[in-house]
Amino acid sequence: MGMYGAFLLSQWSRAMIQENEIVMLIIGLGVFIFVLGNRPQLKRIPHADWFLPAFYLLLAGWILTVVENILWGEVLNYLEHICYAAASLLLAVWCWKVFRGKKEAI
Amino acid sequence: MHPVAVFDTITFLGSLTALVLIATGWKRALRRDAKLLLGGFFALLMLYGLCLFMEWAGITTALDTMEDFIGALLPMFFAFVVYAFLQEISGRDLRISEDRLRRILDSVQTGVVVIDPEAHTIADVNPVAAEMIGSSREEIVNKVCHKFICPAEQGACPITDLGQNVDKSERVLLTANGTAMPILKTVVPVWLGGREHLLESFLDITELKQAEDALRASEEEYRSLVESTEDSVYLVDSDCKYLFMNEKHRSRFGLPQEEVVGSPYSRFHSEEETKAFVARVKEVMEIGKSLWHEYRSQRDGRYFLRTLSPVKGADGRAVAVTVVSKDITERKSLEAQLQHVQRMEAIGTLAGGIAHNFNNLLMGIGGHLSLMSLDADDAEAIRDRLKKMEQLVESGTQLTSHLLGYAREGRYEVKTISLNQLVAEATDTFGMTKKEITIHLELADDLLGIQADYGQIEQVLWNLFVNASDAMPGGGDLFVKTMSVTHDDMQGKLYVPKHGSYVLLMVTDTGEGMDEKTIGRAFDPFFTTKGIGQGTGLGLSSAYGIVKAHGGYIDVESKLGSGTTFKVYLPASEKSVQEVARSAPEVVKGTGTVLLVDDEELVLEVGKELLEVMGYRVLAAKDGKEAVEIYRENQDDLDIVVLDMVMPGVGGGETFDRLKEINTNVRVLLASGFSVDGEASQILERGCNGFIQKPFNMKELADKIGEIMSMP
Repeated sequence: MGMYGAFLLSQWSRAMIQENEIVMLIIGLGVFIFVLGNRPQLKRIPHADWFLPAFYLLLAGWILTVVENILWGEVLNYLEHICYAAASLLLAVWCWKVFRGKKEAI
Repeated sequence: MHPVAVFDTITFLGSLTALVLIATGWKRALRRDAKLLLGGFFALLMLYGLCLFMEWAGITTALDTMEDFIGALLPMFFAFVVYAFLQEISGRDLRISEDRLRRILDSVQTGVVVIDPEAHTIADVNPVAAEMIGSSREEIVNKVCHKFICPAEQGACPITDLGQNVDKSERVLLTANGTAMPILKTVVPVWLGGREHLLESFLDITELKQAEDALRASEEEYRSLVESTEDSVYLVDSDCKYLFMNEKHRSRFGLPQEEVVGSPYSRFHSEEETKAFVARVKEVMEIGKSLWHEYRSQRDGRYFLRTLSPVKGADGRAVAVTVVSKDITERKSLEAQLQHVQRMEAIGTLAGGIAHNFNNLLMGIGGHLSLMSLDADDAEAIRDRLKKMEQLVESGTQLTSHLLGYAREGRYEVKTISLNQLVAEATDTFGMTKKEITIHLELADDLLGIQADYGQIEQVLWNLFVNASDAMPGGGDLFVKTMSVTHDDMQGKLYVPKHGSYVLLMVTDTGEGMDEKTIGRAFDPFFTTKGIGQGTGLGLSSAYGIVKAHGGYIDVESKLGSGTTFKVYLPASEKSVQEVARSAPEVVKGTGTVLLVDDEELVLEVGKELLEVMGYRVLAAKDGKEAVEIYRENQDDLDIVVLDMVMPGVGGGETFDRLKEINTNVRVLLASGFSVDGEASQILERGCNGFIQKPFNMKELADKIGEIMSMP
């Protein structure tokens, strides 16, 4: 194990990772696998180009909220909240397009 | 306030906006369950954003527990949303599929009925099926299927055979007005609405059935037509195998249809017949047109007129050949009898014309003899008369050869001859026999030769001259002219001459002429203006036939009281003219002993003198028996036997065979008034050394004997 590995291990041992974050991440990754498995069908959702990236951003946020406890806590925390905000905006745009735009049912 | 709180505010507001949009936007964008799940997700996200904002804005940390709880719920809810979307998508696919199926069912021209096999009811029906049944869709759907679909065949209801396909079976559909409609039905099980149904499709085959019935009736008509005919009718494929044979033809073989169909032609015919038939079938299939021919069966010797016609496939190419074979044995027999009768009649009438010609010849010979008796002291004049008499005899010989030709036993000889020479000789002879007619000759100097049989063209001349003579019973002028012309000079005729050069012979008399009606029939066989027994009516017709056979044309121009002109056009030849010798030939003399055998004493006497003049020693025998005896006694001295073929008692053939028994190397020259065909050729095949046609002159006899004597 190199120096970097030793550093990560030392950080991990000192980290204050919350259980709920781990649960959120595990469920999120499970959903991610489910989404990947049904990607062709999900691509048929109207304006899926807005909807699916929103999920990927949420997933990124869930990953970052765990990782920030290990290293670069401040930076990754920012990134986590940015991901949530961006996902929220993308979903708002998607809802606008679907519910207010051209009438295109799933 | 921590800057992160700003992003949490955006998260909160974005989620809130999405929630508002779901609540207020187009209601049909999503199904209600999916919409509720999505709304729940946005509500959780919004609360999550709010909790984060509270924490990072430093307002309170009391919401941390809720934040953790919502954080765990968020991905789960998203999974529910995704699942709802997938359900929505698959539901939409199903709706599209069902809609497409509905459209297909509505658009196909086949009746389609969906049957619920458990309830025995009609679950659905397409417009075509409804129309065929004669009721509306509403009246049919949910009704018991047996009421409409297969009322007459409940025992064979496909529902009882659930799960088994019924493929294109002919059934009956009971229509609303009670009539039974013939249908072609196909039944397949289908999975609809989570249960197995039966999809029945059926086609109205009423017209098809009617067409089938009409076709069957038509086939029956044709079959009875073919079967009832007295002609043999059969069909063969390209390999000459029988595909069909009618009763008449089958009766020749005594076999049923099943046994002959598929049999090759060669099964019932000889190899030679099969070979010829295969070639004709091949030809018909290649050219795609009918051919006919007469054919004599080796099976029973009967004659048939056989017509082979191609049977063409969809691509227009022949796939089989129909043969119609008509028995013409009786007709052939009648034809042969008729031809024989006609031939006898023609020979009878021709005899008159020949007698006429012979009379002319005899008249010429008689005239010369009379003149010779007056010029008895003038040797030169006598020799001249003798030459002319010899020419007349030669003409008589040719006349008999024409008779043989008419009997199809003689042989014609076509060579390049000069029409001028022929005209000069014929007019010279004719002039001597008809002193009351003045002949005016105008012969072209540069006249081209013609490819012709000398004797036949001479016959044409004689026929024209005799015709002119008959037209001028009291004498007159006969103008004979020859000239070279081309097809351009033959315009305005009823015929279109072939391109090229021609030799024209014009024979004009100053006789009584002919009216239009007579001109129209001038060349008709047996047509004559003379009284019964005075003319054969064959002169001009035979002239016409001879000219046509030589590729020429013959015209007649005449007016009553103004004479008649015959124009004969014969194709000119570029080949050099072969002179026809008429003068007394030089006789090659020989040595040796000849046995002359002939039952005619006159011929025996003259022949003996001729041979002796030629330098031979001659032993004579008046029949075959005597000839054999003389030969047996003198075989060492005898060099050649001149043997007459037709003799009473022991004939020429038998005599030849006996001589051969005595000496296998005996040299025999066969002489006969008949042609070389027939018995003469058989004797020649048995080893006879040569043949000479009677009457012969001294040179011909000398040449033949010399030829045989020189054989090794």
